[in-house]
Amino acid sequence: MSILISFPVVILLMILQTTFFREITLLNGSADLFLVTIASWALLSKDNSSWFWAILAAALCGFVSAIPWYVFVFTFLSIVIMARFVRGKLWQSPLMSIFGITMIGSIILYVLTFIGLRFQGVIYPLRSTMVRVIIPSIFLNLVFAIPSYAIMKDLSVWIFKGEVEQ
Amino acid sequence: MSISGLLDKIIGKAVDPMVGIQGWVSTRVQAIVDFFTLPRDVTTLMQQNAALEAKISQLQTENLQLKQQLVETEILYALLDFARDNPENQYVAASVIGKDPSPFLNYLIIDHGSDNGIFKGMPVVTEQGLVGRIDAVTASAARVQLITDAGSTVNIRLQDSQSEGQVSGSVTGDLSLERVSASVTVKDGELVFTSGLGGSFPAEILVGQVVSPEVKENELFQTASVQPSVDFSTLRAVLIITNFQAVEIEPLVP
Repeated sequence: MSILISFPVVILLMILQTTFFREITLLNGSADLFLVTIASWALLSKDNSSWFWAILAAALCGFVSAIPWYVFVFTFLSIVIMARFVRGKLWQSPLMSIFGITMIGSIILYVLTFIGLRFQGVIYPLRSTMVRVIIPSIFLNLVFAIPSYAIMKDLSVWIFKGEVEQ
Repeated sequence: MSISGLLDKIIGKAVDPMVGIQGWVSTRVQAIVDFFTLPRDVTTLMQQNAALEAKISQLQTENLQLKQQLVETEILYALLDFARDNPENQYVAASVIGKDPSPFLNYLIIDHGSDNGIFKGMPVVTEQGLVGRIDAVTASAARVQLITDAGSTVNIRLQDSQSEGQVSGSVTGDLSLERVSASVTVKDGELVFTSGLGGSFPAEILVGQVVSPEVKENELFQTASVQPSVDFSTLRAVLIITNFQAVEIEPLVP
């Protein structure tokens, strides 16, 4: 069930990310809905479906975006690894977990993007990229991590309650 | 008595209080009638009010839709005018349906792809000027690299000085003028057009206007900002020039 539900959710995320969330900007930064959703799901899912979610989201992002695909694959899988590691340790502090993973995941994503684009020959000035894009984007990711976590929690309750009843 | 008018006075004296009493009673009776019938009227009025509010809501929605259609029609008319004024090119119009998910990049996603004759490298314009070029294509959609993207460089010619240079994008979406010789006099507000050099874009497409040119001592080239002619924040529809073959210049390998 959680694998099946990933397809509409990831497609919906892509539609929202490319339309609505790219319009909500802070300086030149914008939130990454995929990152916060994968982090939330990896913390909340009671099975191994978060690996599939991460690969599916990375594949779709790599297809749509001009960012090298391996950036998304590495980032989203890192987030799942971190979440699974943290889940057993900080289970009483879900907000701390989601904030921590979102923060570290965002840093991984933007640093890898910076490096990946540099490999493609696009050179970004470090200071202005940091001030105008990376820090505002991390802040927005943290802001959207809370509602994302709440929505994914409802989704996980719905999915796993259904599975228990079966 | 009747002839003398005295009877009328007597009758008047007798009737006046009756008229007063009649009016007083009538007012009270009407109030009582209203008291019993008003709830029914209120229910009717509430139903009518709800129906009218629904109608207003529907009309407001229709109004918004029509305004939206009007805006789209105006955009399409402007694009059509541009296409008519430049008959040497063939165009395909497409709607902007999204942006690249990453904040690092200034790319658009449009709703036309290879099924509509769009291929990688084709220039994208609006009636205002140059937008960018096709970066990737699927059957029904394409990705456009904007000229404001950090990876974009456009070879340009300045209108007045006729000197050539380059306009590059940046992570912030600002355009900067580069590779213009320091010996050239560049004026504030000078128009910037594509030069056609390099084969990536056709010549004579408006890119923007020069802002704050600056010549530094001992520098070979001067710098300036360029105000793009296209408002990228409100871009809804674009034209793709389909009869232009972009030249992919690869480095020569011995």
